[in-house]
Amino acid sequence: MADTEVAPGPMLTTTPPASAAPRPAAWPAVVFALAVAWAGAHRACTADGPVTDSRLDAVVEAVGQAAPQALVVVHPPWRTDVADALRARLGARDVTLALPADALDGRRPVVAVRWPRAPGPGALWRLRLDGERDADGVTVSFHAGALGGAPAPAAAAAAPSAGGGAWALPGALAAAVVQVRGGREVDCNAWDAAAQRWNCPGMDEWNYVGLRTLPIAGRGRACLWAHPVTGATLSIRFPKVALGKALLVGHGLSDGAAGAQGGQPVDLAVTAGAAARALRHPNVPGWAEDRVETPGGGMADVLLEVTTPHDGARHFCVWLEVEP
Amino acid sequence: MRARVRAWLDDDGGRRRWALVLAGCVLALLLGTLRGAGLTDDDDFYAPAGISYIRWAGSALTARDGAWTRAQIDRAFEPNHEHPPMAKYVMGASWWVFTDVLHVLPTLDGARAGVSLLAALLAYVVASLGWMLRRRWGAVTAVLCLFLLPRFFFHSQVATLDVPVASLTTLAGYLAWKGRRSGPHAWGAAVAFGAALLTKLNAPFLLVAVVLHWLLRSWRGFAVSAGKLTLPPVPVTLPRMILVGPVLFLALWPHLWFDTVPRLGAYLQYHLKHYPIYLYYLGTLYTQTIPPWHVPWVMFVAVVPSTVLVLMLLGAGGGARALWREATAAAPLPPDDDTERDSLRAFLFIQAFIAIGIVSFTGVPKYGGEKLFMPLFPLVAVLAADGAATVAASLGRWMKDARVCRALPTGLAAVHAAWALWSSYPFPLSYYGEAILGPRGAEALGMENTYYDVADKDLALWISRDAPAGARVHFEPNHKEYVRTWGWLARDGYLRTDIRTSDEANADYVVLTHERRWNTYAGLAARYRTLPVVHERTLDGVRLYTVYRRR
Repeated sequence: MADTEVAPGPMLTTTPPASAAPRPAAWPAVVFALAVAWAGAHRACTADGPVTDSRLDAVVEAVGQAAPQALVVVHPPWRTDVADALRARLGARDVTLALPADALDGRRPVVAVRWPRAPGPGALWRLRLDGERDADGVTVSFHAGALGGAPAPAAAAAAPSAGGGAWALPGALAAAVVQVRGGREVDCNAWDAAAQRWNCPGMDEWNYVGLRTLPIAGRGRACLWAHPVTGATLSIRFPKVALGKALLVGHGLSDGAAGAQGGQPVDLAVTAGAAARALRHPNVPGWAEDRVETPGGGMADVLLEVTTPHDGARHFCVWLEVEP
Repeated sequence: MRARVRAWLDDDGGRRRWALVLAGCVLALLLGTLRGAGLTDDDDFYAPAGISYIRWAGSALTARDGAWTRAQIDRAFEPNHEHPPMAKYVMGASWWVFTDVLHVLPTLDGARAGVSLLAALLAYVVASLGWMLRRRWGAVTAVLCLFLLPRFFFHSQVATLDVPVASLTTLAGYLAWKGRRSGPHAWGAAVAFGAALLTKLNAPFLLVAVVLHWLLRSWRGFAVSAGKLTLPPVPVTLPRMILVGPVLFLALWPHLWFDTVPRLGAYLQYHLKHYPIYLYYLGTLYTQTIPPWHVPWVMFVAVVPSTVLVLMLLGAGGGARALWREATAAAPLPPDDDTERDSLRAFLFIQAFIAIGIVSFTGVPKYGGEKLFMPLFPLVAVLAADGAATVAASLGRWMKDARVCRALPTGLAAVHAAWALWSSYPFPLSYYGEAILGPRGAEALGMENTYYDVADKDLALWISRDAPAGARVHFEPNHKEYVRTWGWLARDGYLRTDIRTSDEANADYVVLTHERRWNTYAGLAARYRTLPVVHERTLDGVRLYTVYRRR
């Protein structure tokens, strides 16, 4: 490369006499040198620590102090070898590398096993730290519940109370029968107890029926996620519900989805024994509540059928209460 | 004629010659490695749309098939009418050349070559800007610091709109700068701004940068006398951009030729009320709420190799200093070369701040790593040329040889970035720099280890080699995107045509991408844990996807 170009900037000018220009600062070169060194050295910060019997024993002993239902999460998430070794020793305990939704929200106690040399874990920053132990160099921390500002437990805080205390939606969900019918025939029979939801095998991730807290009308509302499917009917059957005077039905679209360009209305057909009512939720923000008379009460199945002409951004949520 | 071309190339010390050489190198590298780049879930939207548009353009130019009727125009421009067409015209044109005429690239790669062409245009502009700041080393440094960034390299090879809009906004900014005094450049800026508007919705914000920079330079010219406001001279670029840009926008987007107001309203509404897209960030899952303002800033720091990052930040510091000096000078600075360069630094700094600021400080959804603020990277790459010069000057305290001082920062940063690109390929979207301790640090801290549902061609090759006839493959947690992209892999010869995607119940293989932004991920990982693992892809030990044999 010929070196004949015009020298426009300080570094390209002929070196002036020392008295004419200030000497360049040293720190830019030092910072750059540190960056070069860090490029090579940073790996030491995340190098895998060894898995030894003594270490595993110490961890198992520490984890044993946690509640039986606590989820054991191994950190960092790429340590499948650690997770496998702990599963072999912990038996019935649930050992995972990733926190499910209920643990992320603080609804399930968590024991974090932090193998040496890994930052984070970021997912635990929102959880309350109840205690911490050193187990032969491994940090075992105990967490229960979300810190202030974290999302409220989905099945608790913002949930409307179930009428009469006899029948309550959160508890009844596990007994529900969820299906997609019509254009597709799918039994949504994969119950995820941790997440409190029915998943629909083979369908998209959002095709499930489960408890969520959605932003609706500007506040977090606990409700039952029931995303409709284009050309099919999402059917949710609650068997043997002790009816009262009426069913109170709440429904809404999440604030992010309501009013979306081209968004279609969602139709909700409610059947309770001999009573039936067709409801429609337009593509607008807000939470609507309707009443379906169930004269005579008695015991009957309650069927919700959710449909829409087009399911784009139809983040639809419902709630049911029995009016005694 | 040859003498005139040579004079044009040699003008300004050979700036154009160097910029063309660098752009040619970038284009050769991008096209030479195009077949290795995986498919994003956007490829299937933009490439077919581009092919549809260019087919219509061919009919329209030859007045065939009733091309100018509303029915034909609506039919041709219905695909992906949510976004304007310019980048898709280029994709369609490159498909026509490379696939339809020359038959040298399969369909999707033919369209994706258009994005690489726009990236080469960007290389030319970046080299020119780098040259204006630091001559030859500036041009070289700027281009290397941009196109060796792993994630930017990936985006330069896929049929998406992010590199095209970065390319055209940078071009428009460059011409706007040059057009302050030159009529042809001012018209060029107006046309380039129109092209940028026709690419993606972050383009209009370039005007904010131009106006802010004008105010910064000219605020002393504002005066109120006898109740009358006197304005300083407005650069000729500005009114031309304001007038020509929107006219081009309407003229070159046939979708808006009918029902103009409602369709324009729908276009704006679509983006103003964009549906939320999942983001996993620092251990928090954002599914319905807008993630915090610092997401783009943290992502920028996290996805750039540490040496390049230092050069960029040093350069940005110089830009901020130039901005401050220009804004606070008691009188207009003398129009010499140094002042002009400082003014350019300030302009680049303002543009860069706006490019990331509109994602950071507005209520738009934040997702997809760095893709939404792609126009930032060319600007900070140019400023990195300044950063390299600052380090070189600093090294001069200890080293006598000026050439070595100049070569060291650029060379080390380039080698480092090239290694980052090489070692992460074909998963540059999973690359994280040393500021966040690499892919491992990012995974541990709770960042997304990939996004865009990339259909990996190595996986397609592996399964084509090892899977039994008629094998069925199911993807989790987001199967539907792979139904589209795997169709392209089969059509373009990367995948055996008897291998199909299917629902889980009928699948022989399940591919689990380890994306924790899906709240079903943990349950899926637990469910498949007992299945035999037959193939796995990792980066720096971090699992990107695992293939389980289901039956």
